[in-house]
Amino acid sequence: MNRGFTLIELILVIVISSIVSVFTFSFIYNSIQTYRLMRTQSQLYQEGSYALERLTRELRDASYGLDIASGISFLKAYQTPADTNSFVRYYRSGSSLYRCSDNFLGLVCLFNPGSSSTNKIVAGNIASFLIQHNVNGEPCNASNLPNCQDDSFSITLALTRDGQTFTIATTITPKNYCANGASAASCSTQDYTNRSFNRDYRDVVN
Amino acid sequence: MTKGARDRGFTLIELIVFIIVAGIFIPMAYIAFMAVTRGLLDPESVVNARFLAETKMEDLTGMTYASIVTPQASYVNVTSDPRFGSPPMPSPNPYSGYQWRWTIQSVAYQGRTTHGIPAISIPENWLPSTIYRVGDYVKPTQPSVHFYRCVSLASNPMASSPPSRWQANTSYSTNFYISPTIPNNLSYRCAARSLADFLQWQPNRPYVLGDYVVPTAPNGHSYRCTGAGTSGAVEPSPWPTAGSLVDGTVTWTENTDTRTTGGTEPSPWPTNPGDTVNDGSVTWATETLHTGSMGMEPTWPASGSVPDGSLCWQESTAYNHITVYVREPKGYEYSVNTIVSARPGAYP
Repeated sequence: MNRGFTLIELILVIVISSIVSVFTFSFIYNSIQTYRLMRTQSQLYQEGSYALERLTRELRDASYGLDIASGISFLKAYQTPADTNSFVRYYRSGSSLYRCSDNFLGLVCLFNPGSSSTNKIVAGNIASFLIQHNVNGEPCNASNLPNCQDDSFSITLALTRDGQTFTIATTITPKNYCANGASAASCSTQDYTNRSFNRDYRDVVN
Repeated sequence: MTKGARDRGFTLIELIVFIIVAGIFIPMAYIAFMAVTRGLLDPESVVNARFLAETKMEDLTGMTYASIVTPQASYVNVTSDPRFGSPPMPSPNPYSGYQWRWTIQSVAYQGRTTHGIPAISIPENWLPSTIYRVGDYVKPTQPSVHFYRCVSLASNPMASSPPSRWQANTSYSTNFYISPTIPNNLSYRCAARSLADFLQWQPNRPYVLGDYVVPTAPNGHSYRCTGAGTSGAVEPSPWPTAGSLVDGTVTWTENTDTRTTGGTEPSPWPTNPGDTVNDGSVTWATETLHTGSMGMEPTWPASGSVPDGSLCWQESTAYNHITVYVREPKGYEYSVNTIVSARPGAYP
């Protein structure tokens, strides 16, 4: 009755419980690790897809003045009541993606965006923000329809956080693009016959 | 005294069996569980697939309507597109394993109510002697990039020549179709008026322009009043079989083979198919709209419209239905689709 445990019994218990706990703790550790990774990733996905969605929506409405020298800037064909500015610039500064809107000259957003109240962070954790201008032959204007194709713009956004990287890319062909450039008065009267979208693209998101 | 069963403990065999069984099942459960959690680590495929589909859709719709002609029937690797190769993508390429394809289909909208959703369809082939409703679509029996939409003859843009609305004192050829001056969505086929339907000549009677008579002794001819006046007391004899004659102060012109409308439009126009109405030397037969009865398919124009029986077909190459499919590495398939048109606001 009062014999107690033998040393052998104690050693056996210790060995068995350490084997069991190795499994248990690695299991718990993996689960926690997975949760942390997923939380980071889903934040990156949400941030990335939101930023790209926001940018592509406005870019589809770009009419002219498309410039990819520093980020991407353009003039929209349509404005919204919430944001009556026609000039929009998206650019990366540090690890953030900014959106700045301005009047049609865009001077503040181009040269001193920090002083503009419209300069706001769209997404953080940005590792790279690349714009590629795809020249698709001849831009469309009234004289060369339908044998033309407007330029498109490929956007690649890479986000990184806690060692996780997420790359997301898309291509946009602005639907209201006016190849006549800054002589924008002609844009509204261009012949859009035979175009897949007849200048009827309009976005109501500001 | 033997020990009770309560105190016997496990035998070595039982222990070994337990260890073997546990050794099989515990790792299996562990592996399965970890595989599921690892699988959860790649939820980006939905986001990636969405933007990939958008990319291809933008490529296709960036072309002009007439240029959208290159469907991709089988899946190809996304990474073969220079925009998704390495470079510019980092290595390992996040897009490896993604594939895409796209279909482009010519479709027509069939009807669009004010609040309804337009239905899309591929029109059926044109058929001879067939009733079509206004708004129906057909495609030529020979391969063609065009569709044709049924419009009533009255809305034929070429209405002035030849006239498709009823006109007074106008000659029409047999089987020519007209619609009333106030269209009622029916058409009327021109037929020669039966000689028995005309009034017989009467003596000393005033006749006005556009009146018709047949001789009291039928000779197979009818005569149209081309100079108003009063007929003589005695019937002309013989009636000429061609040209005209003067009878009292009336001028009669032989009219048998000419179908000329009267001075006043029939009112009301009959509405039941098959009903007829006499009008000058014309009998109009009420017809529902149908294609030509001779089995001759119209010569389909590349633009504009073409008459066909009592119908008019309006060229309607209006819509492309584009669908982009993206398959992500695990085999799940996503699709997006859109419909593009070459015509501004051209919902029929």
